[in-house]
Amino acid sequence: MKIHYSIEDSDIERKFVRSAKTGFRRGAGVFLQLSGIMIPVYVLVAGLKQTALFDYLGGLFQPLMRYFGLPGEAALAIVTGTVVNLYAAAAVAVDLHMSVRQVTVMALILGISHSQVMETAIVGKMHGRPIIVTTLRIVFSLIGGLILNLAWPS
Amino acid sequence: MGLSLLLLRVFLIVVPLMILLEIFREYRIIDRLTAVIRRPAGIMGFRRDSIYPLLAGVLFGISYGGGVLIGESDAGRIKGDQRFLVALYLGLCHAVFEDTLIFISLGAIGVVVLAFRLILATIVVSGMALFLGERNQ
Repeated sequence: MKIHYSIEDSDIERKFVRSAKTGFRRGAGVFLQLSGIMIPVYVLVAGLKQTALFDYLGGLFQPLMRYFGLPGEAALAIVTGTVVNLYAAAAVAVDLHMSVRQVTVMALILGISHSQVMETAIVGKMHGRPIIVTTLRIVFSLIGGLILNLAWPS
Repeated sequence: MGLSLLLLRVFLIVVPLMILLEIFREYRIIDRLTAVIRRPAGIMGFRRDSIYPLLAGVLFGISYGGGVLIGESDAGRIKGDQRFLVALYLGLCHAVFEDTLIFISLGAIGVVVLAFRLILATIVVSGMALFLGERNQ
């Protein structure tokens, strides 16, 4: 019996080490891919901040973003996240100096609706009615942002 | 916060998550967890075969859950509106570890976002299942 258990133990251990190694290798690969998106987006936004266009875009979205209690510039992170992915949105949002409340409202909007180019394609392959799913995600992300902004005392 | 700190945080999210995913695969943990959510998922309108791709997607993302669903769908085990219901739930709520950790790393209160997404997806999908007549089969 003792021998039996020790074989089981080493088998479980071997499986664990194997999955940890594979996971680390894949994770590092994914991280490199994401860096390839985040670094250019961050540099682009940093450059944009030096120009008048940044303030112009912020002002343009300000009337809309007000309903979510967000600064106009948050729209840039939301649009980036909706089209590209959450990591690109994070690279935009990271230096916007928002409050915890504002970051949470933005996170909820982005959480419900993000990576729409890629994820709509996946839903299409699933035969999951991509147009309805994508439309409902966008609608509920806006409703969610409105509700959280209203429900959360500022 | 700056770019380097953000990249460090993303590394600390992505690498452990991929390790977790491999461990879940190796020990077939999603298989074991399907039994836990079978009843609530059934009440919402999901059939037995839909539960594995649903759970895989909610935990590890729409690509992973979707990939599983495409395989099951090709094999004829998931049909018609069940595919839509899984896609709708996953559209509103997926990758709960990954997304929540990204939001926390940005300074958001992750549990608020997570709870909202789970409740929203559950209500919307239950309503849709009722509307489509998928609940009483």
